[in-house]
Amino acid sequence: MRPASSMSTRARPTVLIALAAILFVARLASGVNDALHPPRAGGLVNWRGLDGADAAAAAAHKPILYDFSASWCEPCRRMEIDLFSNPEAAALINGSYVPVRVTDEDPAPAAKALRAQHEVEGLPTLLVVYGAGSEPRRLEGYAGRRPTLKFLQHAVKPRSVRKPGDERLIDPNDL
Amino acid sequence: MSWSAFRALVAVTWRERLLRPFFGVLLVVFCATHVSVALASEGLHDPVFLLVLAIGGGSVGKDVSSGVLPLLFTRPLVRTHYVLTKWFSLASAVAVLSTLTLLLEAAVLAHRGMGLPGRDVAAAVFGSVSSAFGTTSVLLFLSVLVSGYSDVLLWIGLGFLPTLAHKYVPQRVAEQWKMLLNPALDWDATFRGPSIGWFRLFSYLSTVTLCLCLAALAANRKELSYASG
Repeated sequence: MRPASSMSTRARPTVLIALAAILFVARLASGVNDALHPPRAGGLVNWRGLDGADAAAAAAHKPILYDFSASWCEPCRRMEIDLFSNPEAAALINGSYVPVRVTDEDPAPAAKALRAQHEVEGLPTLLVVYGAGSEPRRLEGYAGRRPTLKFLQHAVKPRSVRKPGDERLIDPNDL
Repeated sequence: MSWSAFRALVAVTWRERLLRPFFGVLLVVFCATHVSVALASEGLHDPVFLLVLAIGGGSVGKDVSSGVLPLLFTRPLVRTHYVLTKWFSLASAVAVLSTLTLLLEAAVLAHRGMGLPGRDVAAAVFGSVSSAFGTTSVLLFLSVLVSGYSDVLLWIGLGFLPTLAHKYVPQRVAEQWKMLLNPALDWDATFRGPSIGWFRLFSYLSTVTLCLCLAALAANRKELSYASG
């Protein structure tokens, strides 16, 4: 092993310290920039607000697809780019659901109430809500386009509610 | 640092880590499990965390406990170079193995008629490689602080903190904490959006350099003797 010239074996890692400091400052600056100018979503889904979503869903006879997300949430951004910007997924969502986005930053009482009502704790959460009498279906986290698309295809129809003692009712979505 | 010293350290680390008797068995089990999970979920399943723990755990702490480090530091080797070489050799070993596992998963999925686009496979490999280099830097820093394989326990314990205190810790903080312990870059989230995710990119690079910097500074302050560990 060649002697490390005149360098002390405990030489201060000056270049590494400088690099770490520069990158830390860049991290702070980009974080402040993102907070001041949140990155715009570029998806193909026609999201609508919470107001009037129930009425729109009832009129169109479609379930509501709530997307609980946040600008700081890494899997949410991945889902935005990978799923909501995918033409096939966007066509399915726009055609079969009334898509409503509820962001974590939304201070509206209605958004807070909805999060509390459906006990949304993790992000992203996709929640499909049908008319009265049907249990909502949810998908937490983002496991990739294929499984999420499968969930969205299955969740278009509400789950049948099994009556006690009726063994013949089988929900095809559960197969 | 001379090229021959760098090569020697990398070769020794690879030999010591990858040629352990139980490692071959463990690797086969890892691969089989991940391929099964990939088939069940019809998507790629990244094996990087298990590989990082199996290969990257105890990187420096083990050298301290076994008495190799005091002996090594009698040579004119700059400690920062030792830390950086250790990080590179472990992370590259993890990156190569996780890439091979992902490619095997993609091949099996394609064989079963569930093939994924090449771009998706490339993005998964990119994420896995970035995770290998990122998480190894965190483990290396912890390994300089504690002896043996305690760094793995410390890392797992720190990872569980937000879960244990989930009622008091906001999800945003929990996510940042997770990103600090598992620095990784997601290709889609960082580079494929309408704009480059600079915050994600700088967060990753900053965490990695910060961990390496702290590891080098801690190694410089370490007093070693044959009774260490």
